[in-house]
Amino acid sequence: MAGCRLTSLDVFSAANSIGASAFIDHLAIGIFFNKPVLFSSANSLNAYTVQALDKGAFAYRIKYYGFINFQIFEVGTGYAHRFGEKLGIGLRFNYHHIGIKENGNKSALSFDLGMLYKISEHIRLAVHIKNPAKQKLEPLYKETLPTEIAIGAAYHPNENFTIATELRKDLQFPLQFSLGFNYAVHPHLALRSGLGINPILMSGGIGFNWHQLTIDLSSVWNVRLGYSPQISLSYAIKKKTKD
Amino acid sequence: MLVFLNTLLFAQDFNESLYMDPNEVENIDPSQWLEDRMSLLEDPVNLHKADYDDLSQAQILSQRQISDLLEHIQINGKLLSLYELQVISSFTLEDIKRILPYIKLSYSIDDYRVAFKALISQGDYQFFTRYRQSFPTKKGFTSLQYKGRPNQLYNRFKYQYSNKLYYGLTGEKDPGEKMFSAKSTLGFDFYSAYFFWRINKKIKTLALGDYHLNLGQGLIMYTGFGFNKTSNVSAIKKEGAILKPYSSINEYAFLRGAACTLEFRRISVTPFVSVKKVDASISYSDSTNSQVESLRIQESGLHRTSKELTNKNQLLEMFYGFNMNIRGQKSHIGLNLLQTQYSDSIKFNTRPYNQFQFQGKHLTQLSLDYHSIFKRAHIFGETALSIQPNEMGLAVIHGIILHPSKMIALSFLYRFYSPYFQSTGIPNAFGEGSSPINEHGLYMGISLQPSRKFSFATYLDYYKFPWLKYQVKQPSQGYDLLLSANYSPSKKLEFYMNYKREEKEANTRITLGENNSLAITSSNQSYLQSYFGDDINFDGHGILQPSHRLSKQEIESAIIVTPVLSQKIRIHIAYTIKDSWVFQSRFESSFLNDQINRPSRGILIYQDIKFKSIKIPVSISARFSLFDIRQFNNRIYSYESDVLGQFSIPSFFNAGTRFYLNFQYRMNKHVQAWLKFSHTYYKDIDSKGTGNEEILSNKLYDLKVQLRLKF
Repeated sequence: MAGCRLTSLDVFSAANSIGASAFIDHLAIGIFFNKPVLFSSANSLNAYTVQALDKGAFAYRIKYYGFINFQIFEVGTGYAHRFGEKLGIGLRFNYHHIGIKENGNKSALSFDLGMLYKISEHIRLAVHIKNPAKQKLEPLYKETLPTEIAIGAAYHPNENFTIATELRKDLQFPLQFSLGFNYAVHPHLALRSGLGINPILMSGGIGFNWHQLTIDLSSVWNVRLGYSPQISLSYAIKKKTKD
Repeated sequence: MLVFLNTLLFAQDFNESLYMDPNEVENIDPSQWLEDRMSLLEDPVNLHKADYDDLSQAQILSQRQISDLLEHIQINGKLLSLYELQVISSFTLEDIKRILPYIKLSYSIDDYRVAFKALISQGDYQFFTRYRQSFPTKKGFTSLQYKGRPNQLYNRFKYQYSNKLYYGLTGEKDPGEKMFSAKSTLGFDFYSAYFFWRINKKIKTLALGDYHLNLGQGLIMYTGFGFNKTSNVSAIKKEGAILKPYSSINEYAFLRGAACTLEFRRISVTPFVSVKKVDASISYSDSTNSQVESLRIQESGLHRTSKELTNKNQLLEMFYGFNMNIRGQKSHIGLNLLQTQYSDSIKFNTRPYNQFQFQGKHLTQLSLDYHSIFKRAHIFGETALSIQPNEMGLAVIHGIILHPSKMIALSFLYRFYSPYFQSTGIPNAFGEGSSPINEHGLYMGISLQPSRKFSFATYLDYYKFPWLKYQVKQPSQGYDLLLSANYSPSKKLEFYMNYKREEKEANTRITLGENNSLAITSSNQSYLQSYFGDDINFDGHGILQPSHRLSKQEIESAIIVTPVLSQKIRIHIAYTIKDSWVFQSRFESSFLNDQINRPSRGILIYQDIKFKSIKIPVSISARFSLFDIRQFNNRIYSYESDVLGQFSIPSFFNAGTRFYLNFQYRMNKHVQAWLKFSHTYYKDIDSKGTGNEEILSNKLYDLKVQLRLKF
């Protein structure tokens, strides 16, 4: 879906809008592997967990990106609270560690804010602000961690189809626009695709559902850099109902 | 009747928001689209009898609407009234208003049983005559390079009996062409005649004279009209009928001969043959004219100068072949064979960019096309081969249109056109280039209509040219993006906004500006440095200028391939007052950055006023435009109302104003007249155009008068 995940109510909300985690009512775990720009030596591996509570959820994430000479490692812990049936607001704290061979390591802390609002049965709106405090990685050279605001909306005309759009603005980069859709052609099979601007990209993928297990295969195609294939697995452990 | 005829005038106002790409505008010939529309107005599609093919070929409904309509009729029986369309979810009130002139419900007897004598005499007759002249006269006339007078003349006779039988004759002369010349002994420079008859269920159509031939998705032959990239994202599939009568004035894009469609149960076969003389420019390598150095087909159809007259009808072009279709209820598969034969070999000086283009006398092309509708998915495509003794070329196009809900349409299209694919027919396939050669591309489109008042559409098309192109000296790539939003809160108000972005690699030359220099910026520095290396003046002054290391000629003759970025934004409002007055306001801005020279901007603003009334047999439309666009590559196109049957999409470039007045008078049900007058003023220039087309004035006038007799 060209990266339109802000309004998704699944375990990957632990990495996207933390506010969406408030609407998850079970324990879920997920992993995500991405090979940025096919045949490059870099890899990205992420793991997520969302633990539902009565009126909210804890969300955890671990992220690794890099190759032998450059590595980024992030750990995030967040909590999202549900206000009524329509609004979820969350806060996440992140620990960042960056290592460059022969240049040393740097660490920093940051926090993110997220919100998801169900306007109606068919429409959701989400906002996520990453590092609003503009935490610096290196004070001497004023090297800051990315500060970004993202706004997304999703529309579900029926249970089989979702169309989502997002606007993202990083302080250092131009405004990005993404549009994606998810079409469930079968109860166990979904097709996904999307397009984006800045950078110009297209994406396509398929998702398989089998009971609580979901497997997604996809690729993003950047018109200049090429293909970045991705695979993700998630497993939902349903909440036991009280007798 | 008055309402109908007034609708006829404004039926020409097709949704201009569909067009945003100058390349798209320059490559189309909408005159045949208009002819089809006029034929439909004369004989609307009968929804009691129309099948999927009839509705597709009418090109007035989306695939979703066609499927929903046929399903509704299948479940509920024949429509009781045209207004019953409102209960079909994919038909909005605006859609119904738009298509109302083109549809009907009729229980008339089967026209196949009508006697031939009645078929050829008891239909509708129409006669058009049109005169057009521009002022002041062009240099070609004052220098006597153009042999004829500066007016354009058009006469046409047309007969139509329902949708069963058509025949007609057209005579036309362009400005500068001479009547009754040695090469136009019958009077007009161009004549076209056609006879088209839907005979019975076995001989479905017979075409004699000039006709359109539309095969598959246009990889090998498609002379009819078809949209490519527009905001109607589900209109990416070519839908034209295989055979159609030809009545336009394009002097090249048609076939001349005979064709017919024979049908037996689910199989139809359409053999065709075309033999016609075409214009060709021939140059010789020796003074005795015995050795041909170059022979190329000329498609302009202009015969004004001695050279253009020499080129007239120099080459005999023959097309023959067949189409065979096997049809299912919601699908078909077709086989197409096209043989091309010329009386002389096509030949030209081979350059790196054109080395794979067709040269020779003979070519064979074969293709397989299909379509299938499965639930909410419409799949279509074509695979074509070009076959010559020493090589074969492949072209492939496949697409899918999905309707996952009544509000959403998704479309995807993939194309692969090999540089080795040869084309001699008149192809018209989806793509960025003008022919299906040397291009790979992937298109994705989404349209969303969450309510009757609001709709949104977007598409992204990415393409690559694996080999060189004309004016691009290396393999290149690019993309097109369109974002379109439309809001109509009531029948009387419409608002739409479009944003179009295109980035495409092309040869770029350096233009030294004031002080004979060019500013070096973060945008152009890497390109300039990669081309000139250490010769560039990077001594901290931040400008590129001639020096002892780099002359002005060296700088200005440099050709650098850069991604040229073009952006256009359009805001348009249309509002109706008391059903008689329509006001349209538009603001359009364009931005061009070739990454080397200074970016350029352009603006076009106009105000339209239209008047139409059922009480008065007069309709008027007028427009005043103001434009300021300093670079030709940044030009903006804008559709204008015109006389019936004419299409006008002028391009705006330089700075100035344009005014036009379009007047229609209906004397009675047999006689109608039109007049269009326009005036364009260019600020800051003394002349317009170059060579024989140069006009030594900055004020241009154009007058068009047309008369129609109908009985």
